[in-house]
Amino acid sequence: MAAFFPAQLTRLYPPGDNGKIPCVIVLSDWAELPRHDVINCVAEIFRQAGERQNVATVLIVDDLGSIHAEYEVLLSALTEAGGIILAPDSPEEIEMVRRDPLVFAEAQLIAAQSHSAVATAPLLSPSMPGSPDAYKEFGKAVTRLLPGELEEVIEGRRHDDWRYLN
Amino acid sequence: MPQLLRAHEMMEFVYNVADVAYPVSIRDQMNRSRWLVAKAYDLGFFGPSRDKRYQRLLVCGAGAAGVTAALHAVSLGVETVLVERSPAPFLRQRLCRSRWIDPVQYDWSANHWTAAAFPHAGPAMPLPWPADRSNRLAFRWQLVLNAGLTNPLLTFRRPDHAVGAPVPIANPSGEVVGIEMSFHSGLTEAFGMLLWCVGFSDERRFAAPNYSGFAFWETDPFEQPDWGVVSPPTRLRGLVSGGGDGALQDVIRLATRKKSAIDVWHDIEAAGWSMPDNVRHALFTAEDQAQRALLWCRPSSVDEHNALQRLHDEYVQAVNYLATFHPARALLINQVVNVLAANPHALAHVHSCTHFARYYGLNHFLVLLLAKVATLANVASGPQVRPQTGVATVSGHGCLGNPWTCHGVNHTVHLQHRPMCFGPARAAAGQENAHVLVIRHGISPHPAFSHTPMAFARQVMPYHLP
Repeated sequence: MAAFFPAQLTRLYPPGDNGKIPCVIVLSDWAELPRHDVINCVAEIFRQAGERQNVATVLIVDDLGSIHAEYEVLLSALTEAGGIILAPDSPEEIEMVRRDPLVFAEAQLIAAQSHSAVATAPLLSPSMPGSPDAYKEFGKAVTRLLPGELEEVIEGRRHDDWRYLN
Repeated sequence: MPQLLRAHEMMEFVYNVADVAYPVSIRDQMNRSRWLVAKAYDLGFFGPSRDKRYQRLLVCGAGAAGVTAALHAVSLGVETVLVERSPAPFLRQRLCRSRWIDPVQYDWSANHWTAAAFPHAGPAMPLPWPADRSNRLAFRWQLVLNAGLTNPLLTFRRPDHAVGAPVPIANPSGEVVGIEMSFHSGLTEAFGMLLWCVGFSDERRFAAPNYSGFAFWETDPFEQPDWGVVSPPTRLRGLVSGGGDGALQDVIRLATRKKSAIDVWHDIEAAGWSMPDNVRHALFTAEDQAQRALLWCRPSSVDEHNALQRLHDEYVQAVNYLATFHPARALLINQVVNVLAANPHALAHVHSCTHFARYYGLNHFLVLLLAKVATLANVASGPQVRPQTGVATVSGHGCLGNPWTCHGVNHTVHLQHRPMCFGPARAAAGQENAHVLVIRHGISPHPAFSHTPMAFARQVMPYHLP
């Protein structure tokens, strides 16, 4: 059984690097197949990618959206085999999946890539803070009060604190 | 040796992130694993300064903590072997499509809220943490790991796992210089250090005789209309048991059908209501005092009870004040009633002792506020909170193994009175019917190695280390 590598996703990756090209499975396309065939297909993709030292990216678009025990068992089995289940999470995403599940998968991939780029920045030093600037944002959480403001807070607490009511 | 290493040391050159720090948080485990690698590297436990045989780091477990450790080690130029039992990383997070996860969704607002970023003051963490559904976050992390695997220093071996305990390797003078580990794949190899990042401990979500509810890290339908129950009766009854953060999260989700506390908070603030400064100040002060008290008291002690009780009392007073005395109380009540309108079904919340357990402040506040307003405004679907009560047994249906098969089935839940948070149950406390039953009774750590730590791990906060 061949895996499905859609052209609209392959253009997001360098051509020819199959280990990095996401495989997309749309559940409604596979609904008639025996369950273990789908699970075995995912497992086979991972085995082949493993030989190349890659972690396969198998995106499974849940366009059926069923809520019942047997369906959840299938999704869990696919996940344990290595797949990532992508289900719509808003009315806009539901509409997107209805129109074209692959466009939805592509949107999810782009969103994921935009965040992963941040983390691959090199770390500066083994264990010391990377730069003094790293602490500046943290410091914003604390607001130092001017003397007048402090007086207002104290007065406010004196007159408005519920523990002094009654 | 740095205290952080002492608190996680299992034996020489073997460190455990998974079971030592309790209660657990993914954010904390990622921090700890990153800092453990950094500290051990500084001390020369692995890396170029060692004999070639012991230059490599072994990381067992490719979850959030393990991958964080491995990527950080590689960034230091260390040859690293990452071993995972499953075919792909982050299995726990990938399995869950419904949990909208930390760090910025359940706590009082800070400046990292708007950025939805990891609230970490130090250098960049290898894995980014924008707030998202659990499985989508795992997808992002997997792309980061894939990028990391282009570095030849990183080997990701799966499916494979360690077999048995690590064996210390000694030099002729008897000094331990490294460890040897055997694997299910048949390999036996030497390493400079092992970082054990396997497992998140066992969740207690069972009730006798054979009831098993949804796990915390499992896809659930709680935010769906009628809580995802197919063909529901006119009025469902839900019951959440537990006073910890998992229980509070799910009380909020079931009562409002919102994915997280921050969504509820934004809805309450939408009409112009805002938290008065004096209340905010009092709650933050109480949180600060409680965190320091909890940090240094013994787990499950009277001191811990007292610290949590003081904190809880402050929250109860604040909610009572805001909903009954404050000039803007009508606006607040109106907004909360609107939020509760999303769920028409009855919801009970039982928890042992007279206070909630840990941890996130906004969850704590919102559960009390929802319950208070439901009482004041006669909203029958609002959470009804019963302290000092626990689930004893469940009858009416056997559910072990698959919560979906019993979701929506009417169960009889037999309750018991619990006079103290850590004491035994005393007497029967009546029964409730529940079509949806959520049991969040914490976790049972299962240490991988026999170990007596030299310091309480939770007393060594990696955030504050130089």
